[in-house]
Amino acid sequence: MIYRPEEISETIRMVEAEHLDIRTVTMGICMLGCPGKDPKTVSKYIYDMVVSHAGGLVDAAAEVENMYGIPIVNKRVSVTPMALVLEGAPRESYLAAAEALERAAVECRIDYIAGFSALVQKGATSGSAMLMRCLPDVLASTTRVCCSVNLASSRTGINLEATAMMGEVMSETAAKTKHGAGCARLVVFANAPEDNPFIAGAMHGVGEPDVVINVGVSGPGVVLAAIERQKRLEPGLMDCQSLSEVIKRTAFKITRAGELIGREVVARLGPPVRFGVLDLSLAPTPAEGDSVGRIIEAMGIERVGAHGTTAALYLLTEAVKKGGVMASSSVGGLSGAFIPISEDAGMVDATRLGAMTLDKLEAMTAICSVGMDMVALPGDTPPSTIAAIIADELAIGVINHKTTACRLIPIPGSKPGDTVDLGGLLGELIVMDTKKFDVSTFIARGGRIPAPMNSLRN
Amino acid sequence: MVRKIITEKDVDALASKGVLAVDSGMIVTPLAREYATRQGIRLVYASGSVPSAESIPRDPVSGSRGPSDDRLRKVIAEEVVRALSQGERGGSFIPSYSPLAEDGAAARIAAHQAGEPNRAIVVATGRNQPGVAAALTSAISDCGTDIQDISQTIVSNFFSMIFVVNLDTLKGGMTFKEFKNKVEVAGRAVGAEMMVMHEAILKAMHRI
Repeated sequence: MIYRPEEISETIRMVEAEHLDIRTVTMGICMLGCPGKDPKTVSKYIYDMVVSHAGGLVDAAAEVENMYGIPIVNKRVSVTPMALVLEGAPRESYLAAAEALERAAVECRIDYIAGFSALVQKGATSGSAMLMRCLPDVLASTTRVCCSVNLASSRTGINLEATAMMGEVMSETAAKTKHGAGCARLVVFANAPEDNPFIAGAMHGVGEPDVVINVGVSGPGVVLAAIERQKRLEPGLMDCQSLSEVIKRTAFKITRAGELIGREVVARLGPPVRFGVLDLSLAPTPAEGDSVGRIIEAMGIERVGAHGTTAALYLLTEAVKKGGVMASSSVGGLSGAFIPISEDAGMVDATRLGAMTLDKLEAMTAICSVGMDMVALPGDTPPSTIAAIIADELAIGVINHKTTACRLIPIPGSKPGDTVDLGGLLGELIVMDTKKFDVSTFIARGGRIPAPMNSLRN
Repeated sequence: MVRKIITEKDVDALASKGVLAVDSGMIVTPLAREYATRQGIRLVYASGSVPSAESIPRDPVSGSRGPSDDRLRKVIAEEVVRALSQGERGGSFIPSYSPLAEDGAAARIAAHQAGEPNRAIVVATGRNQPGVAAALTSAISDCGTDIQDISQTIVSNFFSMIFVVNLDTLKGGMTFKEFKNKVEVAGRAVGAEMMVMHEAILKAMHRI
């Protein structure tokens, strides 16, 4: 037979039992051609652009899904950062743009649309500042629009003034939305990638062509199952090279599936749509077994967050990248492992048991692909403390020349240890404890923390 | 008209009394100009020849260098005025369309898949009973497709069957989706768990 029955059954097992899926097929659409700045023109242009390009996305994805038997979980859209499109426009245009994005998402049958974003790593233009001030209202009045702000980069350092402002924006957004859930659609970045397909931080960068399809592959469940199977096959204790080898081989297969799916969707959509990148991130879901935390635990760490977690996470993300890079020449985006607290059953358990703390999470973000993702904070956390948590995270990204991000959710009225269920893909949040010491003077200094140097890296 | 190229080697021979007269039939290379400057030779342009940027007179009002006649500026101004007078564009900015319903979509997808193997993998598992293989094979042949390979195992009372089906001979107008649906329905009718997928996914995952 051209394929051995084991190969065929392996593919079926990965899909049916181990949650192999294509996490997201995200269409990036350039919006720079907007012919005017008045609310009417902006609204019409954005709606027409999204619907005309992404109107067929869900159908095309469904057809590919049917043909290859691999589920495509999310179909989404990202657009050019709105601050670039709307610079110079009145406040009404910003709100009209958000409304148009929301309406277009409904029309296209997609659950999230991203790109209500600003890039302020060196300084905010008046348009970017306007967009940032609009964020609480935009997040409160929409349910599908995702927002992000790039606050820092390795070339510019950290814009502390904008960071302080985002601390306030997050507090205000939490107050305006139920359980602070609006904050789940708001991300701040250091070194934001321009081709990331994963919501909420997706955006269509200015260096991108008109319309691209970026694919986010997933499969923590598949990696976990492969490790468990290899443990049963090998007598004695598997060493770290073997562990890395198992993960690499699995990542290779997942990535190849992702590339095939992406290219097939592009072929169905036709010009001007082009294939962009494949993001290799292991993205967990709240489903049991589909968890990055559980992979760390399968390596022999009793609970994710215990000592040794950072080393195990390093082993995991490196192996995923190496296997994926071998499989595809179009790797980009975030590519690593996501460790959102609420969207990962292993991380939720570890947080409840006290193994996972804010400090350990921060250390792990120096290794993984994103950062402090879906972290619930007590309701009385002052904006300056939120900004300080963000600044710490940005510092890790800036000095290590990697992407880091924060998606923090200060839940109004909550105390450390409280549990809030946001439902669906967002999962169950456990409020984490923060340090109660005052940092407001540091945050109030404003200005910009200068860029790091490339030499003397010790 | 073929113009004469003046290189740095020609400068000395052509210059007289520290002046090189350039007429419209000459092109002076940048190196020649540099050489002339070093030797203190001044280039004098006759009317109609192409001057260097340095010799273009400044506009007395704006101080910028440019052609003395404003034909170019006039053409550009006319273009801008014409664009402005067209006014606001009416209707939709972009026509709305569904890429799958578009003319030529089928041809585009076919071209994309040309050269790739066009086979389906049909996997059936379930409790063994008479007529399972017959039901599946007749459903496959009803679609006009032929079976290229079969693998079958029976463990105690359970069977697992894998068919490799050539899709090139799929009945005219029948899509992969319809084929899949037909085979799955036939299999489920005899109590089998069905999985039908295009071969490309296996090639992608298991072959380098």
